[in-house]
Order: sequence, then structure tokens, then C-alpha cells
Amino acid sequence: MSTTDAEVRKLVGRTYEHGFVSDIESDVAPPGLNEDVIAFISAKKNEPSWLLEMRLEAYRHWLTMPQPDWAKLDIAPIDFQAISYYSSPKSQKDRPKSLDEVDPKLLETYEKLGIPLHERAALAGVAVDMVFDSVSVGTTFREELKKAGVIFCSFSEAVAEYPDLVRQYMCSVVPKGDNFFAALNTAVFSDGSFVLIPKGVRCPMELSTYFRINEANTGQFERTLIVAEEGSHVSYLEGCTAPMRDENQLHAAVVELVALEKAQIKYSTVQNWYPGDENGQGGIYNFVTKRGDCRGDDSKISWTQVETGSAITWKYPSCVLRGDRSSGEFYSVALTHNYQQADTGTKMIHLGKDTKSNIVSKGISAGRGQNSYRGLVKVGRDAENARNFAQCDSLLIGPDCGAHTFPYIESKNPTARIEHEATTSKIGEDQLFYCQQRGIGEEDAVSMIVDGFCRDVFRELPMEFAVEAKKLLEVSLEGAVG
Amino acid sequence: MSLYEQAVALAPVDRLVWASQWRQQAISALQSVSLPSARDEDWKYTTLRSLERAQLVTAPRQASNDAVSLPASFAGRTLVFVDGHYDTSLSDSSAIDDLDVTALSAIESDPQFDNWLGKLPEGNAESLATLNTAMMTDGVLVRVGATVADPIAVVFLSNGSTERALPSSFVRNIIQAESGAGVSIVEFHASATAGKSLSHSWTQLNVEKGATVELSRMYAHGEAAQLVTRLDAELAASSTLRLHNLDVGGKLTRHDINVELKGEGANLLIGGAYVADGRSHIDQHHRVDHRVPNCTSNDVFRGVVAGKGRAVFNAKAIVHPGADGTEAHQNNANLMLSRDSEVDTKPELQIHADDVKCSHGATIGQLDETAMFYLRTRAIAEADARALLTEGFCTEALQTITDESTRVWFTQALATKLRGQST
Repeated sequence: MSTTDAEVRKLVGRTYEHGFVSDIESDVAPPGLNEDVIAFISAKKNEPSWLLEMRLEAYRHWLTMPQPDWAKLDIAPIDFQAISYYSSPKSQKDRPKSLDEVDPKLLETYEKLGIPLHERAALAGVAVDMVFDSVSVGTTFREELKKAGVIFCSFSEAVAEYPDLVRQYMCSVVPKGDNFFAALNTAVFSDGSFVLIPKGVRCPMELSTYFRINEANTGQFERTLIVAEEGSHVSYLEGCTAPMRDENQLHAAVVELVALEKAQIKYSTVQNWYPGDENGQGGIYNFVTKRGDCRGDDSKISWTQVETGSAITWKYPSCVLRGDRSSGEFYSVALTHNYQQADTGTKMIHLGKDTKSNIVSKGISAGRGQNSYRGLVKVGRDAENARNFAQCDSLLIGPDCGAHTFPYIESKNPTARIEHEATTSKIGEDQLFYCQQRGIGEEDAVSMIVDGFCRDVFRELPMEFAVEAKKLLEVSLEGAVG
Repeated sequence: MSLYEQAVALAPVDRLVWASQWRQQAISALQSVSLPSARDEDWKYTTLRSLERAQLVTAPRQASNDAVSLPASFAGRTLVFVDGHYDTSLSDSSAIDDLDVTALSAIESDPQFDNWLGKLPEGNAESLATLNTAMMTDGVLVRVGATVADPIAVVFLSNGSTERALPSSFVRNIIQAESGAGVSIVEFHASATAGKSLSHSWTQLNVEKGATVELSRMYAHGEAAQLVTRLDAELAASSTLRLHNLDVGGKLTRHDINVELKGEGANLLIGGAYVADGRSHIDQHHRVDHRVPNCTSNDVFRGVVAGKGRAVFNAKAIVHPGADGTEAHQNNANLMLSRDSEVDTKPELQIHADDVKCSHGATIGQLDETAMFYLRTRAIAEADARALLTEGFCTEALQTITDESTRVWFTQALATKLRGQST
């Protein structure tokens, strides 16, 4: 296999295409974290006092918490005082009324990413709530959504316009002191998205937020809250790329989903942040807390993620299956190459009767990438007839990478049925041989095999995301035969 | 009292005098450790809180012949240890060619002991192993140079107590299979008298090139007994270890099994079954290190939990860089038969090489209702049908015992336990 090693190195070592920095002046808080900084953020955003109080409580709790070290990750020490906790594009004060008025430089940034936003939004029928660094600058299709009664706005707007709703649901799924990074987020979160689908409404279009970290040394602390009222349905897309830079950037987001009776939420992510260079320098730290609460009977939450970026990923989208007959799903493709590390998985907490969960996780490791699946399936004493199936497969490409599986399974109910299976292997030489024998080039063969390996996850993605995800994997893995 | 204070008060310094430097080293190491807690990842589901408060005492060292309840069909030779001391009157010490089976207490000294006894694991998670070196009274040394036909049984009996203080015993066993040798050994652990007790046994095993060892261990203690065991094995090239564990008793049982595959082409099988009923808590922790290419390991466990029983299972297979051609598989299936029982299982793979085939599976479920129905339509009473299916489910993991008399003994013990449990 030594002949292909060079190719592997060549392809796996390609530079990040989306690496550039657009120079837009920002209103940046000085680096450092203390109660004054939190008060500054809160004041900047004209927040009500209860929210400032919540931030301060989270901050005080965070101070008492140690940074977690249980994940199979090698994390360089993070200096939380060296991070600037607030940055917003300057033109925010006189907010554009429509996309035409948006700072052309911003739009240029999206052009560079190959995503002509308005075109894409119009063509795909997607409403995009752009998050550029920390503050929303443009929201499309707001009016159309309004007709359906759907609220889709930035978190700051929601705090201003629907304070009662925010207060009712915020931190009800991920408590403010839930874990180290969630507490930090609650203390300093900058902005994010808020979605409310009213009773009985099927959201007329797929909702999408385009995240992009832009300001050097600015940790980004997004907060997303989606509430699906009784009998409603929503599909939410989240995708990210980030410019290249040398220092590690911390990203600690919190996503909370609430599904009431018979509601369904589908949350899809394609994450392609800067993974660091081929020597493991730089790259984003992606430490995210995502949790959905199937609060009502017959509700359903489905997480789909394609994780190809970030230097370190620490992320466990989870479902609390509280309502009877509620169900949770988790579909994941995680790819690590060079020195990327990922410790990701899910938690399915079965509390209600007849609850169901399904887990499909596909890990691909190349170069010196380390990829761990860490999951928890927990069945409570009253979760009669709970049903879980988990399938975790890992594909290894190259002798220096690693794939690890840590499935925790805890059951306290004798009527529960839980099955977990996992396999780890390299790309089958016989499969490659078969393809090549039929005149398919090595690169195409690998691409085909990887695509097949991930198919169970890709088919859960909305169309345009599936195309993007497939392309992402191809770019990273063409010809990578170990 | 801390572990250190208990060891200072109770360590049998007049026993195994040749090992006193290791004993002293262990005693002083105990100064800086305490019992593991739920904070230690490997002890997340098992608490030793009851040991924290316990006052350890030495046990009475007496047992009657009846306590050594080996089945008549078992063909092998038997050594008996009572409360951690070799009992000559209960043992059969006749000599066999190519086989050296001795109590450690009967040995003057041996240069190889440094390899064995000098190994002191560090940290709280391993503090009971350190305590073992400080407190060990005896154990068996098996050295085998060729293939031995008949199995050997080593019986460990513990006396229980209803007093406040906790009778404790610590044994150390050393098994050395020399190049090309083959042997089948049974460890049988049980209570001689009812009541609470603490038994700790640490078995160290070295399987040299091309040797084959079959080690079958049964734990059938009374319902108040606490038991902690540790096994460390090293496998050289082309060697084979078949390890089986059957747990059918005890209140608290914890097994740590650590196997290092150090020579190419080594084969490992860990198989077993556990029945956690009543209030029993059974914890299996296995770690297999694939350090060199082309080794295989298989870990297959079946479990039944009933009553207020709780089963914990954690098997780790670690494939180190360069260990290409590794095959590692783990499988743990559990039957959960009652409302108050609990199962916590975690098969684990850590893989640092790419040319490997690894898999694991874990399930928790119930008896198949259609299979039950089928048996009921054939006029088999519900309890019998249940026992039959449960037995079939568990026995699979013991079928890989190659020594027939051992296999028969183990499967019968399992069947007896399951029948008693389900009626």
C-alpha cells in the first residue's frame, strides 16, 4: 500500500479552500471574562434584567466547574481570559431592510463561499437567518413565514419581541449549569436563532441559518431555541464554514429543541469549519451542547449531522424521550483527517412509555485523525416497552489514525429492548479490487465505497444538504486508500 | 480505618517471607491510595462503600470436606485453600509428570517471583490489587512444561461471619505455561459457611510461545459474600488462552481481567455467563491489549438479571499502533427478567491501526414470547419453559470450554442456578 500512501498524504493534506478573512470593522469587547463583560454584552443588546441575572448565575456556576477531561481528546489549555466575548458587524446599528441593503462586503463573503445567498434562498425556497459573527444581519422570507404564524428570528430579536416565550423555554432543556461549555455559553451567548412553530402548523419551508465565524480571537457563542407546538412540524438546517487563521477559536454553542405533543423537529447540520493545517496548527474548537426534549406524547426529534471540519469536535446531540410514544433519531457522519479529533455521539434518555430511538453513526478516520463515538442509551424504570437500536461503524484510512467506540447502555426496565452493534475496519481491499477490475479508477472507487458507507445518514439529509455533504466527503477523501 | 491502617494491622508478615520486600512496598504504597469511587471511570457503576466502613479481620481457616463440593464426574486433581491458606488434608497432592502444582507457602524462593510479585498497579482504581500484595497469605503456583491431559482444580473456600467485623482473605495465583505446553485449570470459589466475607484473588498468567491454557473459573459464593478478583495474562507468539467465567452467587462481585497479546498469532477467548439475582451485583471489567500484529480476541458474555440483581459489563479492546491484522470481537447479551433489576453494559473499542477487523455488540432484552408460546403448546410448564430458554441463552458462552468434565460441571452449575432462580 506504500504507493498510495503518498497520494493519501497529498489528498488528505490539501489546504482549506474556504480560508480567507474579510475585513469588516467590528465592535469588539476587549478580551477577558468577568461580570463587567457580561453586563457589557447584556447592555449592548438591551436585555431585560432577568436575562442578565440568568447570565450572571450561569457565570458564577461556571467559575466553580472544572473543564471536563473525560473525552478522548487532546485539548491544548484554553485561556478563557484571552478570548473576546463580543463582536458585531458595525453596520448593525442601521440594520438593512432587505438583502439589497446588506453590506456588500458581507454578501461578498458568501459569494466566496460559493453560496449566492439570495439566489440560493429564492431557488431553494429556504429562509436564511444569516449569522455573521454574533449578530444577525439579514433575515429573508420573514413575511412569508409570518403568514403561517411561524416565528423565525435572531435570538436578540426574540428576547426583545417575545420575552415571555424566551423566558419560558430558554434553559428548560439545557439547564444553565448543565455542563462547563453550556454554562459558559449561557453566560456570554452573543446571538443565535429562535424558532416557534405554532400549534398544528407545518412550516412551509425549510429553515436555515448560515453560521460563519469571522472575527479573529472571537469565540462564538450561539444559542438556538426551537419550539414546536402541538402537532407542528419543522425542518431546520444549520451549516458552517470559517476562514483560515492560526489560533484556535472556541465555539461553544447551545441548541435547545422542545417538541410538544405530536410535534416533529428535524435538525440537520453540515459542519465544515476550519480543521487546522496538516500539522495540527489552528482550527476551530467545536464544543457544542445540543439537546432535544420530546416533551409531549407522540413527539419526534431527529438529529442529522455531517461533521467534517473543526480541529476538535465535542458534541452529543441528545433526545430526552419524556412523552409516551415519543421517538428520537440520530444520524451522524464524522470525518477526521490530519490531526483532527472528534468525540461525538448521542444520548437517548427513555423516560416515557413505548418510546423509540434509533442511532446510526458512521465515523471515518484518515491521516492522524482520531474519531470517537460516545453514546448513552438510558432506559428509566417507567419506560415500558422502550426500544433502541444503535449501529456505529468506523472506517479507517491510513495506519496512523484511530477509531474508538464508547457506548454506554443502562437499562432499568425489563420490558425494554436495546441493541447496539459496532464494526471497525479499513476500506475492503476486495471491494476496491472489484471496482478497479471493472475499470473504475481508484479514487472513484474509494469515493463510491465511502458514499455507500455513509448512505444511511445522507438519505436523512434534506436534498441540498445531501449534495453538499457528499461533495465535502469526496473532497476530503478522493484516493485516500490506506 | 484506611487501607493502609488495615494492612499495617493485619498483614501476615510471617507468611511468604521470601516476598516480604514486595509486601512492604505494597504496604507503603497504600499510604497514598484509597478505595476507588464512582469518580473513577472503571468504577462508575460499582460502589465499594460497604468496604470503606468495614473492619477487616482474618478468617478462621477451617472447612469440612463437604464444603468442597466438586462433582463426581470431574476427573482432575484438586488443591484446596480455606480462607486463603492451603489445606493439605482436603487436597490431593499426588505428583504428575511435567506439572508442578504447589502452594506458594511451600516455596522457599524463586528468582522468577520478581516478575510476578513486583508488579504493583498504581492509583485508586487498583488499590485492592495493592492491598492483595500487602495481605496475601497463600495461593497456587502452577508450572507446566508439556501437555497435561487431566484438568487441575483449585478450590478457594471462604468462611462467612455474622459479626460486625468482616472476615477477609487474599490469595495470589501464578500460572506459567512453558513453550508448547497445554493445561486445563479450574478455579472454584465458594463459601464454606454462610455470612459475610471478603475474598480477593489475583491470578497472574504467563502463556509462552505455542502454549495453550484453558482457565475456567466459577464463583458460587453465598448471598452475603463479597468478592473482588483480578487476572493479568500475557500471551506470547502463537499461544492460546481460553478463559471462562461463571458467576452464580455472591452479593458483590467484581472481576478485572487484563490480557496483553504480546506475540504474533496469539489467540484469546474470554467467555462466560453470570446470573445476578436476589440482591447480587456482578461487575465484569475486561481489557485486552493487542500490541502486535495478527492476534485475535473474542469476548462473549451472556447474562441474566432477576430480582434486585444488577449486572455491569465493560469490555475494552485496545489495538495499538502497528497491530495490523488484528481481529477483536466483543459480544454481551443480557436477559432482564424483573422490574427491579438493572443492566449497565459498555463494550468498548479503541483502535489505532487500520488493517483490523473489530466489532462489538450488546443487547438487553427479554425471552422471546413466541419461543415461550411454542414450548407451552408442547405442554411444558411455564417455569420449565422459561428455565429452558434462559439456560439455552447462557450456555452458549460456556460451550467453548474444551475440557469435557469441566464443561459438564459448569453447564450443570448454571442450570441448577437458573432453575432455582426462576421457580
